[in-house]
Amino acid sequence: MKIKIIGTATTKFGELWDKSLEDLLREAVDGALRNANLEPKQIEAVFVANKAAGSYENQHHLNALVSQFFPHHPPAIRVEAACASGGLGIVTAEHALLADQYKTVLVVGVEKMSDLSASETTFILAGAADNTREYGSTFPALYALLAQSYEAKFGSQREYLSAVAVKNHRHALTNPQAQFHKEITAQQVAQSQLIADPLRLLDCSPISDGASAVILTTKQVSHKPQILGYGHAQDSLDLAGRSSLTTLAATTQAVEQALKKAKIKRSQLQVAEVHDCFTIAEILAIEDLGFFPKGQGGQATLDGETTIGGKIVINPSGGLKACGHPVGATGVKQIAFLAEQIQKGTYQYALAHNVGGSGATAVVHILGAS
Amino acid sequence: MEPAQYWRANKNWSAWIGRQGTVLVSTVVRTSSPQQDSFKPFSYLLVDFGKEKKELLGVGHQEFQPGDKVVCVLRKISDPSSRELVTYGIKVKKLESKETKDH
Repeated sequence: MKIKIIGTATTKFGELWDKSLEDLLREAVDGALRNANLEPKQIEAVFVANKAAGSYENQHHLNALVSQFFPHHPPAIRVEAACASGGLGIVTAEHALLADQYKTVLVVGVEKMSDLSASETTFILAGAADNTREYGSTFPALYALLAQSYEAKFGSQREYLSAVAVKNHRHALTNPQAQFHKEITAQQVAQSQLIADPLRLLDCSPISDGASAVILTTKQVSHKPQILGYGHAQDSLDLAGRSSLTTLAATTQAVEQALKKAKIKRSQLQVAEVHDCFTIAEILAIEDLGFFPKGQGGQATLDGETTIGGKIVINPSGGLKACGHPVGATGVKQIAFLAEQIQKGTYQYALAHNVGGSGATAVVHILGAS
Repeated sequence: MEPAQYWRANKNWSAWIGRQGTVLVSTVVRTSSPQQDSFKPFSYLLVDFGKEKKELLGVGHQEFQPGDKVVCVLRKISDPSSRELVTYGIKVKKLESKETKDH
């Protein structure tokens, strides 16, 4: 059974103070329906990906909120897996499609983050960690421990971390939906405010509002991007329970599952949207996904191997770093963006990599032209 | 930390006080949740206690390096507020550092 992506829509990402959570959801849902040229009643089920609307907006019960956009109130499910909510929302929809429960479904991811202060957001995002075993931690602190471990093993990474940020900001210049349309220099990254050593402000993805939606179908359609394979794996939620802090084991497992299902070689992949919530996360990702040997991801980035004209284009949307990271929307946006690129004929094979927390959840999708 | 969470968590803390370990990796947190705002900057560490590893806050403004020997102590772990308990819990401090002022 083949799953095709027949509709996509992504709102502008950014600090969208004039738009509510519901405004964002409606814009993405309506946009995907228009893009697919479908009537609302043709959607048989809805999957809503979101991390923390209950904390940010006191809005729970998102499945019902989105279902009421449709006159026939289709069955709807909300999926939460921290920053991997979007990727896992799509996996959940795929399971329903492959079980032949539905033929055509909509997945929408959303987060409305900018209504609260940065410190309140820091507290809410820390909920993606183990709040007993990692009490007092912050999301940047956990990735800082991964960065410190990586540097202890492979040497200082500052110029490499900065190269990730510079490259992703440059990529975002061509993405109209991106939060930032501003080039930055390695020097600006290296001199920005320390957040959790060695990670600095410009190593971090921003606080963002946004939504993204895709429509998936198992009906026979031609000339639409296809989901060739997916993988989903878990690791210990707390870092203390991990076997390694220089590899995200969930990523390595998820990509192997996805490649096996897709029946393609890693070398056929031309582009990847990877989970660069922090610059160190992109270096870990491109190594754990098998694009570069361990310890060489940073040098490859500095050498231009991860931009247009290089070995593989990483985060052409700007990634989480520059396109923005409305948490629940990110995994859906990765799929929507790549499907649009395939539809345009820019790429034939693409990979999306979405991570929850500091690596406890990883979801990998491989897309291809049909 | 909510009172019920604190009540459940503190049952285990007496077993940790005085335990010694070795820092595996550490960072200095400079942007925190509101609950730890007055502690900034503070260390956040992964410590090897032999049979198990544990993530903990460092005391005061001590900075740690991998290999540092540390001991678990009882300290405030979040800022008190008018509606919450004054929450104490386990932090670590350097074994060698006797003169460092901590919370």
